[in-house]
Amino acid sequence: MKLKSGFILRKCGEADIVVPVGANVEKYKNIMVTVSGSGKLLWDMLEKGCERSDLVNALLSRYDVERDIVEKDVDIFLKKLTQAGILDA
Amino acid sequence: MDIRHDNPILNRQITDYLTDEPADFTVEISRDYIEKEIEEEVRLNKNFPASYSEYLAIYRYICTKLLAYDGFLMHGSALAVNGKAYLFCAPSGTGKSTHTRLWREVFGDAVTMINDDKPIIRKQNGIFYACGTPWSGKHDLDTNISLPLCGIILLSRGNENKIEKASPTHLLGLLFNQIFRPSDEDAYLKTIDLVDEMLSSCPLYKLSCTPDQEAAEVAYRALNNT
Repeated sequence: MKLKSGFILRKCGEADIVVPVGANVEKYKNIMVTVSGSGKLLWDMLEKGCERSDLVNALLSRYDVERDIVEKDVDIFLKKLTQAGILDA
Repeated sequence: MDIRHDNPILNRQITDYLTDEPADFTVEISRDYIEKEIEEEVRLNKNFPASYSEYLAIYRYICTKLLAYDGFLMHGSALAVNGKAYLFCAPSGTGKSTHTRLWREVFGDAVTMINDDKPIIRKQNGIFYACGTPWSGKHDLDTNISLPLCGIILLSRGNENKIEKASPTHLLGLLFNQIFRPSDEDAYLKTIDLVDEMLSSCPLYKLSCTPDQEAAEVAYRALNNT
């Protein structure tokens, strides 16, 4: 899976806001997606393209958390991006 | 600014804001621009008289211009007490105007309504100000005044009155839904940068409240202890 192109992150406070750019501006002008904490790491990986298992493993290697908790978090994150229409499965 | 529109609503609201000073820019919007505003209103199931759509379209245009002066629109009810401005934000229908009305009931003339619905937030010399404008929602409560913004309060309905400081990290979506988001990419990025700066200089609160005067008292005490 991979993020669609034409989105950038802009820092705001401790989080980032997803901003549609170029040809996406009109189409996605109403989306409001924010990325915080480890979401930034996932975003960067998805920008290059990766599998769900890559995301889970990346978080497991960084945080001392149970696998099923990490999987749930990753799924929530992916669901948000999918609902916003900015992720190509 | 020099507004080249003979709009009956604006003519009525703008009297306190007139000046003889030279204008920085001219406001003259096209028929197309107003049509776009009406299309958006139809999309949101709103049916306004033509003069009201024009009145709102003029403001939308002005908001795009104000960004060059570090100003942006934030939907909410802004009031001032003791020279400090507070902005209460929430989705439409939650009770922002009701809450600020309670402030007026409790504190009387000590409260100045800056703008009950659509204040401009503007940065000048590193300080963020809440500014009155002649566009202030259905109650027409506004004052031609700009005062330092000392708190942004996200309001929700609750069974008791409770206020606490909040981190913007998980509230950005809520906040940005109340902020005028320009469709131009650079303008949107600049808006985000201004909000980023505003959040680092101005505290954010979460207020859960009832529609009773106690809500205003609880909020006032917390806001004035900081």
